[in-house]
Amino acid sequence: MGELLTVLAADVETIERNVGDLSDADLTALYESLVVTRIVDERCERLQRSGRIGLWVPSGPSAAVSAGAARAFHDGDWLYPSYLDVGAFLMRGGSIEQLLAQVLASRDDLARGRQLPGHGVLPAGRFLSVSGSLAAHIQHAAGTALAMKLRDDAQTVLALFGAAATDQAAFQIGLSTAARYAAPVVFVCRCPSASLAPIATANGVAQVSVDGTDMLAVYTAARTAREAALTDAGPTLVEAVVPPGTATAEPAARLRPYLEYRGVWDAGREEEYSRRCEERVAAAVASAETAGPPPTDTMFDDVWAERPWMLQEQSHKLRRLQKES
Amino acid sequence: MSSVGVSKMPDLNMAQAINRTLSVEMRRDDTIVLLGEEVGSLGGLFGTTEGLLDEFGETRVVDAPTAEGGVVGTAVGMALYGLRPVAEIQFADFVWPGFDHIVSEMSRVRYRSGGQYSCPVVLRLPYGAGVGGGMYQSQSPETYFCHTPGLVVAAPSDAADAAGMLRAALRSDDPVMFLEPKRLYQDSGENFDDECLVPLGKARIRRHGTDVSVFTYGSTVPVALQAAKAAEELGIQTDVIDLRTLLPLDIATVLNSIGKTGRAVIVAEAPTYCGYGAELSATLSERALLHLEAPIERVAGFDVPVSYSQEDDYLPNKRRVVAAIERVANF
Repeated sequence: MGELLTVLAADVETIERNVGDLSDADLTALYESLVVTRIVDERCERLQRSGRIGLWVPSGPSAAVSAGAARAFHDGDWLYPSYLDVGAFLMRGGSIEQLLAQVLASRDDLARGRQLPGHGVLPAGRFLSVSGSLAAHIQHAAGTALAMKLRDDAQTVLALFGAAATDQAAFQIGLSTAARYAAPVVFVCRCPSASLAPIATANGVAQVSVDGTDMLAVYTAARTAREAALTDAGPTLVEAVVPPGTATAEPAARLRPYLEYRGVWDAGREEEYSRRCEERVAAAVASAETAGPPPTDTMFDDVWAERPWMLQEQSHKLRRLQKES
Repeated sequence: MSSVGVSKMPDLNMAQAINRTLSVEMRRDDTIVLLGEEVGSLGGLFGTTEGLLDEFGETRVVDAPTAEGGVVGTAVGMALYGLRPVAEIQFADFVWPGFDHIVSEMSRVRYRSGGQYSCPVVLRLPYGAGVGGGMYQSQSPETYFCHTPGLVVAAPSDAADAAGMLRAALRSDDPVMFLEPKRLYQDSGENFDDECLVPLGKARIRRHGTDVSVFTYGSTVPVALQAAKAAEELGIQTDVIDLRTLLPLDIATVLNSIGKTGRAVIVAEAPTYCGYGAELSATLSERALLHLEAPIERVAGFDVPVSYSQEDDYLPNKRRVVAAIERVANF
């Protein structure tokens, strides 16, 4: 295991050599995603404790990995997220309102209230619907990347997952499939320590380990891997190390000095932005709760392209029952 | 369905019919891509994709690693992107490593994404016993799929239906489990043309009769027809319904037949217990009880794995089907 790639620990020249492509607006957006994710996490944990939602798994410090990696991808690229990818959801253009509509399974949820909180979908951002299977999407990402290659489309795929997914057979099959066709996909794994280099090598996939609390290091590694994927160099596995016990605030604390140096962030903005987020999250929760769940009958939609006779009958029976009661 | 200028295909067997349909449809729709172990280099284990690599090249016919979970998972990712992958599993028995992708992904991507994505994979599954394949090359897995909302499950029984149903599958926006009865691959059927389209969800009345209904599909259709012929010599007229599509079932044709006969025999080669016959039998009991003149009989595989040296005894044969028809007719 080699050194972890870091960017923020270095001097300003080194930082700018690595991320010279990021504008003030880009950097601000990265930082703001950490603020939003923290506030959403806090709010959703309260919602769970009070029984208003069924589940919430906070992103914690790994929010930096999710958003940092996603930022390296372009509009035409596809993302296969896990349930811890609020950061990527935001980077792909997802709004706080869309996020909370999904969390509270309101009728405004794009996925029509069918999935557990955190399992969103964002077609406009090519952010695929989150699967409850731990590593299945790693293979789907390889499949989509292969499709891009077969069609000669200059696009790439990002797959995001946690360390547990790497125990699954699907992880290695996804890697080896992508390597076999040099499919343009980047795998980003949030993990407590870097240990996957031998597995990546054995499957013919390039590997790099980065400091997962260093948002610009994650971004840099993902961008480099994306460029390699586009030039037919094949897939890369980025291991973003977030050691156990890392404080949620650490990635923000590490990024903030550079933003302050650039003059795009300060304590006043932090306070103002946090306050606005708190308000917006609170309003989104209220609005989702007011909207209420999707109509019961939508349960029968989207199973098949058309409702077959069984679903027509079952829907009819349920409606009749509900009318009687 | 035939029209002017459409060539008739004389005497193609089922494997050739599938091959030809893939070729015709791939010319029509460039999003159709074949994926599977040796589908290109070998032309498929049963020759169903022979020549297609030469015709369409490596961007349309893709040899996959020997990992069926990978084949199915890759097909899901390709379909989400907008292609129409036709994934071949060499034997249906090998599909289980990909089962999670079928049940938890392919079947419900549309549902869990609120209708934003669909997954139009055609999964080609050579299935069934009767070719001396032993217990790992002989299974009939249809019931596992039939318990999964979002899948279409279809099994043709002759060359013409294989062509027409495959064409429909390739134009469907739902994932289709296309079960190919491999012991019928070499059988010829009626002529068909290159536009024949057999809608999924429509059964076919293979023989008309008023005494007993025989419901069957895929590999056991020929044995049901032989049994029907033998029963006729005993003075029993059977209505033989080839269900063709198991999910969704053509309920109207089934109920119409039982309304006429009041007696049912269900023939399938998968194990009996919780097999497709159980669903069909429950459906008849729920919806046609007052028409029923006799207990419903199932003639299916025994509840054992397919034994290499005993597959002839395992499989439903004419004698067993005729006996069931007689019992039901004379009840």
